[in-house]
Order: sequence, then C-alpha cells, then structure tokens
Amino acid sequence: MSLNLELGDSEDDLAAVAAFHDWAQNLGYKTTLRPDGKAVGVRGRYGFDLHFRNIPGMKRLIMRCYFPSNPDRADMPGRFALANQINSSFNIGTFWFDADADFACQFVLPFQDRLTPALWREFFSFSESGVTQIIQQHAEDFRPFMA
Amino acid sequence: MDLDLTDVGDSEQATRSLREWCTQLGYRVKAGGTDINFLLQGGRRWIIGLKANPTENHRIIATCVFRIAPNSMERDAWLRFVNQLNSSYNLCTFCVNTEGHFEIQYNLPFLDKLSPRLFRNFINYADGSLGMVMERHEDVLGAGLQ
Repeated sequence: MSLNLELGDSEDDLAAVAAFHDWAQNLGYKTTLRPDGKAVGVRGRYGFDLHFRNIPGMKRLIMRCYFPSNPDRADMPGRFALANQINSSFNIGTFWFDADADFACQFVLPFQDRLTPALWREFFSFSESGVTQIIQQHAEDFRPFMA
Repeated sequence: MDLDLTDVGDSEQATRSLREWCTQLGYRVKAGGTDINFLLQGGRRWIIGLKANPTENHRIIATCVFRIAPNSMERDAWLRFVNQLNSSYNLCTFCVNTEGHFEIQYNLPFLDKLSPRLFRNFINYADGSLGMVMERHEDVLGAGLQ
C-alpha cells in the first residue's frame, strides 16, 4: 500500500482536506478536522490551519498560523512596515497583519497530484523553523505590537 | 525528463542545472547577472533562483519586479496596499523590496526531482495569477508602476 497522499486529478478541495487529515494523522501528526470541513488544524511547535486549492494540473497546500497582536490599531503603518520588511528580506513564506491586527504567516506547497511523507515532513519542518526564525530575529520589532 | 537534484547541495550548481533543463523544455532563458539566478521568459520575465538543500526540500523562487512610478502613492500607502494583497490572496508574496520596487515572489519546494509537468504548471500558474492580480488592481497598479 502506498504511503503517499494520492489526490489524482480531483479538484475537490474539501475531499483533499478530509483525506489529508487522515493521512497526516497516520503519519503521527496531531490533526483536527475543522467543523465546516474546509480546513485541518495541525499542531506542532505552532498551531497551523491548512487547506487546499486544487486547479487542473496543480494543487496547492496552504498553511497558516496567527499570532495575536495588540488590538490598539494606532500604529498600523508600523505593522505594515514590519510585515513588508520581513517579506522583502526572507523568501520563505508570506507575512501580514490581518483585519484583526493579528500577525499572519502563510506557507504554500504547490504539487502535482500526490504528497509524499518526506515532501510534507520537510515542508512542515521548514515552515515551523521559518516562523521561529522570524519571531526570534524580529523579537524587538514585534514587541510594541504584540498582545 | 525530470530535473534530478538528488544529493545536490550547491545552489549555484543547482541553478545552472535548472537553467539547462529549462532550455531543454523549450523556455527562453538568459543570464541573470549573478550565478544564483537567471531570467526565464514566460508570460512575463521571471527571475528564477534555486536554493539547494540535499537533506531537506530544494526551493525554486520565481520573482517578478516592477519599478514604482515616481509620482505614485506614498510609501506608507504602498505598504498598506501590499499588506492588503498578502491578506487577500494565497498565491504568492507581495512586497516593496529593499530597492523600493514592487516585487512578487512564488515558491516551489520539491524534494529531489522535479517533473516538467509540475514546473510548466507552476510557471503558467504564476503568469496567470499575476495577470489576474494586475487586472483586479488596475486602479492602483496601472498608474503606480512603470
């Protein structure tokens, strides 16, 4: 039996989420299928939410985590400048402050039709390390904004 | 024929291999000014780099850069705009880079081999999605970029 997550030609994003939930759990990850079935929570060093966007010829696994920031929005320009500084100096993911002023981190894995355990493990580990690197490297920059 | 970078840890060597492979696939490529990237002509001109890692995933990074028009929005307004783009789309990363240009970046991680089909779909996707963003935000980008 293949250990890979085989999604074939399916463009069904929700079916991919459900299949991924079971597959990752079998690999030993702590996963939670969200009640609406649109995302899977994956618990590691951080709490990630993961969903799929599948189009003909390419699928994308999209993984996000959020960190609450100070709800005082007095210095949103400062937060935008910090997010841009991170995006322009790292090339590992996408970072922004969302409508609630929380700091968001996003990592995207495009793939053809199957995920192998090795590709997924390396991607997840890389994403976790990327978040840690940014938090540590910019700890002082985040301090005025974080809750 | 897949691009095989098994056990390759040198990013310059991996980038050279990727460039030759792209030529074999029929893409128009040319030197990018450094040993760590090259230019690939898709629907747009992409700067292609490759971060090699023999023990983890390799990563292809495709970047497109536009000069911001001198009479465009203030820097704070641009930073608000790219933050809005990053929160609205899950396609790629938008930023105002260290040279003050508008930059769009796509990432393609892969383990040790890359298929022509996935690479072609990745470039097509980058071309198409960037075109979609440019069209949707024509009000800002049409006037704001050179």
